[in-house]
Amino acid sequence: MANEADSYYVVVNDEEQYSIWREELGLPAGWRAVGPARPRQECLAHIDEVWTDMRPASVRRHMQGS
Amino acid sequence: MTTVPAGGGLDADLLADLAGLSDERRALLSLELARAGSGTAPIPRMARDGSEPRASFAQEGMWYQEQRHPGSTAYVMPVGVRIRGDLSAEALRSAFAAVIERHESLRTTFVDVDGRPRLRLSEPAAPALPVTDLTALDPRSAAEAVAAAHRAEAERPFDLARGPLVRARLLRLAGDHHVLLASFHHLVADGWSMGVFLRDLAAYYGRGTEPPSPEPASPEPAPLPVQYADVAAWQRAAADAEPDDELPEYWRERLDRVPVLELPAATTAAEPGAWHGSSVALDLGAELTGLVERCAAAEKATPYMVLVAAAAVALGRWADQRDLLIGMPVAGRDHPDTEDLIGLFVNTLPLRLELAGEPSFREVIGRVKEACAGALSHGALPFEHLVRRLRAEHRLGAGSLLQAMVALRNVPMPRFELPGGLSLELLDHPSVSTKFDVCLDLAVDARGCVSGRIEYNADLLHPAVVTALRDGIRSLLGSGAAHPELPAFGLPLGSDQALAETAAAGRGSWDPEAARTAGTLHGLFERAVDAAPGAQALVFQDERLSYAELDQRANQLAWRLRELGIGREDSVGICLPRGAHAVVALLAVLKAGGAYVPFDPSYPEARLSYMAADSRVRLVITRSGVLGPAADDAARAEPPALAAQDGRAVPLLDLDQERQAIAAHPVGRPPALSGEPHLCYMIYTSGSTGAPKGAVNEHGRVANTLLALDQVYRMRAGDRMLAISSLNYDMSVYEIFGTLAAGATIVVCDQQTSTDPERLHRLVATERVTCWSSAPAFLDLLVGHALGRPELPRLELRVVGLGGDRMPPRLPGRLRELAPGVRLFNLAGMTETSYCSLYHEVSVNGAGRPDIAWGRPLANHEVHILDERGRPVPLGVPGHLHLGGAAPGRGYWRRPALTAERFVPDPFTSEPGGRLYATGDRARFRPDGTVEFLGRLDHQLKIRGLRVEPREIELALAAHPDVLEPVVTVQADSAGQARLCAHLTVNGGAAPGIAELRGFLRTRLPEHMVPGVFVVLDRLPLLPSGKLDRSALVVPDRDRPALAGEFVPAEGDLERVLSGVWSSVLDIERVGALDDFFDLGGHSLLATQTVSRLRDLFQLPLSIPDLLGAGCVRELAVRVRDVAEREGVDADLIAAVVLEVLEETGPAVPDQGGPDGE
Repeated sequence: MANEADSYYVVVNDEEQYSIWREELGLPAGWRAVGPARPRQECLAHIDEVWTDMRPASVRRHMQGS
Repeated sequence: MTTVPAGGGLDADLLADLAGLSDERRALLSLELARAGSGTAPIPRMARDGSEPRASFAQEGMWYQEQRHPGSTAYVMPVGVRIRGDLSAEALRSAFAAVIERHESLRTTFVDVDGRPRLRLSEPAAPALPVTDLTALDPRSAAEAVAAAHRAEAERPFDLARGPLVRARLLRLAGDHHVLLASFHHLVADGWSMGVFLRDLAAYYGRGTEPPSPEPASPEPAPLPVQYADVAAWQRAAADAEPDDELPEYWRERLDRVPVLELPAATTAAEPGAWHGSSVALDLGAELTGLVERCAAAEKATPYMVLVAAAAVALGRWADQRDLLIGMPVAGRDHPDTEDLIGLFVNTLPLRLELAGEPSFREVIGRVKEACAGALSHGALPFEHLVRRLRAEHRLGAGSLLQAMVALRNVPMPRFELPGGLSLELLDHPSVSTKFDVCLDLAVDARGCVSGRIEYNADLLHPAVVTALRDGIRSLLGSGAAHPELPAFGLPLGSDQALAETAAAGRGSWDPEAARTAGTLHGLFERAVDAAPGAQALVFQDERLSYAELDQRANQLAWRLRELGIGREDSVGICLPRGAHAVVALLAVLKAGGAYVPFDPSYPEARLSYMAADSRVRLVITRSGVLGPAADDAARAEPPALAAQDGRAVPLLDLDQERQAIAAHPVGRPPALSGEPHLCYMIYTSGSTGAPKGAVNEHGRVANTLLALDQVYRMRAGDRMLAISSLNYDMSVYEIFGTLAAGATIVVCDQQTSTDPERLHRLVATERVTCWSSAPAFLDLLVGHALGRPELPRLELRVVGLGGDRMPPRLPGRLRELAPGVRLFNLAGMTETSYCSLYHEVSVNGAGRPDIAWGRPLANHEVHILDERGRPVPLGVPGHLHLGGAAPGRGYWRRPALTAERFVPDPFTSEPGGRLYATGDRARFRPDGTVEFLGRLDHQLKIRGLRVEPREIELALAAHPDVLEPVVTVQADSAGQARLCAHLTVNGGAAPGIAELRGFLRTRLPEHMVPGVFVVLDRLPLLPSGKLDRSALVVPDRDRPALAGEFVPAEGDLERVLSGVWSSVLDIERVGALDDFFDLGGHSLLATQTVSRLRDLFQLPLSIPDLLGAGCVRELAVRVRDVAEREGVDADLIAAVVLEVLEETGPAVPDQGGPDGE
């Protein structure tokens, strides 16, 4: 399947959900890149560190509001 | 047939140059060389003494094929000849007669002598040439009439024994325009022969006109040095002279482990071996032809090789293979004496193309070139001979050697001008000898462009798939020839537009508002309560709850949960056996605003402890006695708690102990806290890292799924759904919440009944269950029990949904027998994607074969099948199934990296920030847009519907101090049931016993994940590459596994009968009296089968707990005697009678006598 040497971006959407996306493809609507392109495993390791609250942002806001 | 001896004295460079020529040019060159006096010995003429010589190898092979399919027209070759000018039909007929007289092939028929075909020559006779007058037709109608006549000719078989094997008819069109339709049987002619036929026909016509012209158009054809029969005999003599009847080393090596091309079949062919042809046009046009020619020149190859390269990559993508065989036709007329003969000379050489790795298109061309050169230099072997020798050496299965062929005729159409202004030309090349699943039949046309068709077996392949394949080949040629440095298997297989259209046909559509407004699971229930509070919601054993009652009980518990601090997005564990309490608890958790997490009471403590820590549940709802002695002990000293692995003591809410506290709360609903975007449940699934992971889902998306399924099933308030799946299996979500959303009744099945077919049948019948949902294995249980017992009460099932596992092919038919009007659905989905995404109504077709596709997406779910680069695949090409729209759940609980990896951005949707879930399933689209499942991309397994990552089991096994390297696979036992097998190597000396390993695993894993078979190896089998050779992980058949205890033979008739039944169900030769049922490889479903059989044999009310409690045959005998005594029956006597009857009728209970010298 995916080649380990391929380059990916860490990407995030408006709900602050993280994922990864191949460098050579254009970003889909609603997703922005975070940081430089890097190998797949590095992207995933980074996400493991930063994505601490996996609730969608809108749910989080809703709960903080009430 | 090829007549150059193998490797025949030509040096390597010359060979390479020769290989670079087109087939015809090469043949012409070698003929020229031969004529230039290289001294090729002439082929000897046989005596014409009336004996009937043997047919050539090629003819024999073809004749055998024809014998298997009498009346077949696969080998009928109709050929059109356009004649312009003032034609005399009579003169043409004379010319036709002269050609037949000249070529003995055309006067040959085939007689069967001792099963072998022999050539019978008949004297020349005047052939008929019927004339059809179409002069009245306008050009378009005339063209249609010609085409129709051509088709009719193609469909008229020949009589091989009586002959003649050539016929013709003349169509007269307006304006001095004629079409001669000549049809040949391939046994006596080939493509090259057509040019000879036309030339000789023109020559004889030219000589026959009155008055004879001073300068004949062509000289009288020179007498033929030999006839086909002579060449056949010469070929045989050469073959007989070969030292060994052995496959040449070159072919043995090239065809080692020869692959079968697995094209996407439309259906299994009605008649294996039958061939009905159809075709799809393939025209490259000037630009693409030019591109191919320039590419060929640059790569020092021929256009043919570039075409083969593109075909190989295309076929490789469609069949999902990197190793394939493609047939290359060769003229087979290397000897000059064969040049002017009409006859079957064409031969097929297999090209083995191994395209693993990431070859560029250039590299693929290079491999094709190498294969061509090799094949040609070893091409002396007739194809049929090759096949026969491969079979004799057991290197070929029952099927054919070749499924695909690429042919390119690179010689201009022969055209002859005759005096009087007459011209004759071939209208088209006759089609290549067929019998391949797919054949690219191409030629260079008058404009210099490559054009032709893809001919295919219409019984096997759907025209839409072949059309997509055609487009794929064109696309590959365009991009590969322009950029040969690019990876061949990464090139696009069609235009963006075409791929987008295919994708759109199967995708489904998503309204993002739908999941946002679908409601909550408890909200849908409450709506049904308000609509009909008195309706029956739930039935469990003797309990019956109305909607209002269920609502009230759930409300009270919900208030209690709120009191304990449960709110929105909090998770609560549910550790309850099946029953009404469980449903109440689920609803209560949801009403309180939280998400429920099933903690299966049968799971080992270690696993529950892990789940408690990982899920961070605030508390676990349970009942007294469910959570084992530890909870009771804790209950005495301090508040009851579950010890989580992280050291936390998770409080338990014991429904029995807290009954008063709960009942004190109001029966009205607590204010709604959660909505569509909030969590509703978390279900743990097997994890490949060694620990299970929780998949979390949101209300709105699950509600969308439930409502969609309610529509598919047409669920009504009067329906009664059996809730049989356990809570940690998400089929239960529909069984409970889907039913409640529709205002129907849930019939809850208790634990024991769920695996006991007799009780199950009784429940379904008595409670008049109309709907069923489960993994296929459970329905199989019911159906297996009920069929053949016509005295049982009828079932009122009207809809059945099966999911989570492959449906056994016979199940739909058997279900129909039991419940004729029932609608059966195959469901596919994952816990990660809001429970279910695809559905397909299963029909059983005429031949009794069910169509078990995954089908189409539910409302608002979107389906994508993508290649390795994330592009949509063309029709029929396997790819990775992704689910989008309202399907993807929130992800994996506290697994950010795994979530990010599997839930990827959706580049196809207009909804920004949309996601796709990469399922790990291999699938393809069928022509009707439905999805067909092809297997997993990883090693994940399903055991009776439940997901199992073998790695999780391997890691658990590896934790045992004596285990070194474990591998877990699934194998089918002799009854076709899936069972987990563990192969392992051990540390140091003695291997741990099976009972010990099982016991070790049972403290860590749920029952369905404990392997039934353990095999200890000295070392794991490896492939030459160093990787594990999974195919070598065999399970010794029917051996009694190496158990810790000794084999103790059964004593007495009763034990012998019991061990005999176990032996049969477990498929093991010998069963010892003290051997444990599960250690022998048994599991719960086999236990059920065993009890069923014993009930039938003894006519006693034995129960599954009886078997499970007993454990071994000796103990079971004791129980059987007890039960028998209560019934006033003598079990030993019955056993004796059973044995007597079996001895008379033959062994069904194998002899369980003592150890046999082991």
